[in-house]
Amino acid sequence: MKIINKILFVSLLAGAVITTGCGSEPPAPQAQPSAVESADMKPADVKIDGNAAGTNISLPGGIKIQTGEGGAKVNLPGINIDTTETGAKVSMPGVEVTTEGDKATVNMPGMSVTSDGANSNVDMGEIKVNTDGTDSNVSVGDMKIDVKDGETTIQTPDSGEKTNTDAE
Amino acid sequence: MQIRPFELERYFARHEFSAKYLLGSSDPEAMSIADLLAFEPGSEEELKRVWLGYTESLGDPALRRDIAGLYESVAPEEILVFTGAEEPIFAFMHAVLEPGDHLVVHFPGYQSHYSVAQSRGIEVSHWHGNPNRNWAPDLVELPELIRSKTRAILICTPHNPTGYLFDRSSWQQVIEIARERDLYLFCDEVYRGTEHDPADQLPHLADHYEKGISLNCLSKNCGLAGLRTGWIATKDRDIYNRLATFKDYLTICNCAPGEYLAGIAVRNMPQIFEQQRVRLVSNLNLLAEFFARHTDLFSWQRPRAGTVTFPRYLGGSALEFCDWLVAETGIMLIPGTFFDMPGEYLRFGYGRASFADALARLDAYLAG
Repeated sequence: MKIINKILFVSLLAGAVITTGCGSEPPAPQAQPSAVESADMKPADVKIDGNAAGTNISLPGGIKIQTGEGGAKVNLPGINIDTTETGAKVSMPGVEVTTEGDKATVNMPGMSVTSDGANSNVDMGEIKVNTDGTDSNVSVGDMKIDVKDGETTIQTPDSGEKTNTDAE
Repeated sequence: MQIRPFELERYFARHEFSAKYLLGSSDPEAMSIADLLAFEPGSEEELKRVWLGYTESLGDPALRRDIAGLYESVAPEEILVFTGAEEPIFAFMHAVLEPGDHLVVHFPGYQSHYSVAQSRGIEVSHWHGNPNRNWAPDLVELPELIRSKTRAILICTPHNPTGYLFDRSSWQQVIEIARERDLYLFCDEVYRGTEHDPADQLPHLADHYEKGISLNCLSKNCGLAGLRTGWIATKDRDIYNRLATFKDYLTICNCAPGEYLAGIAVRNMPQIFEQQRVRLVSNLNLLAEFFARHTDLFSWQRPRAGTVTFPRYLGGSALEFCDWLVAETGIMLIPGTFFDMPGEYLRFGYGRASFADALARLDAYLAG
């Protein structure tokens, strides 16, 4: 159960990271009067440079956004997002998510996830999960579960010698 | 009085599922029913015809004849067949000894040898093996342990957990000490047949002492622990009758297929012993090399018999080492704590076919 929870947690985390990297479209800002007339935000802290090749936006707090032909970069403290026409790379301390076409990799301490088309692999050291879209296998240490052609086989580790007594 | 838990058995039970490599077990490599039947062509069909009604309480007459054939002078009617060797130990402590009696027991040893007696209010003195003399007990000390209430002396040879084997002279002296004082002498001979040099094998006590009780079974010498067949040989009719009468409150009679299969084992003991002996000596040679590589961790003297040995661990608490080892690696050794010898000693068992693999894993782990 712990293993399943770990996979679920890591999958959710990876999903969250990927979601961050792809960037869902934020809702359009509503034209509403500000209750406070920009008391803390000085227009001078926001820089926007734009031309036909792209746009650079610099926001307070070290946030930089660059857009150009075929891609965009977003830099936040500790997080870098770089997108191209075909892929994206999200980096944060200890975590790196890369996508290119139908390939994706997620690397974080103790775990790597790679996918290529229908193939996916999760490697957490003793725990490995592989699938090619049709067949799958899971290994946890010496225990192996294979799903092939709809059939599941489970190979349990050698549990050692069977004895529980020293009786004369 | 409550009987103490059998510490060794509790330890096995605790690690039943975590111990993958049993490096401390005393039983040698077992065999299948098919392996055993192969010793006697046609026995498979006979086994199918074994009648599953009650068996004779004293043991199947044919089996008792076969067993008696192992002795120089013991007759079939002097053989009493039990379920394993635990049952006759239990019966002896109840049917022969009384509360207030005193028993001298070879120590360290199998817990049944003294805990059953203690649970009945029988006083027990330990006759200690000396680790500095390869676990030989001191013959001068034995008479000093005997009191007016002493009824019996219990020895085990070849010995568990040390592998000590009495030499013929010492063994004869123990008999004389018992005879001079008119004491029963109970000899646990369940490891008899595991002498690494067959020439070292001692005679059966029951052939040489009129108040001697020889205990044997097929678990430790033949690797047939699953048959649960053991027996007593004694020329003392009173002892025999007391044990037979007490057995009525235990298993009463034995397992019919077990007795049939036991007969095959008894009739083919020389070949079975030789198979086991070859493995024991080969494994013990590996163990000797292992100890030579780890003189910083173990102090050891090579035993002359048995399936077990009891080296001294030099790295601290043997119990902590064994607990840590089984948890980290799945390798199970038996700390001396479970032979009522807490501290530095631990038991290796070298009778299994998997011994070399398990020892190599321990070796690699200690080296790593």
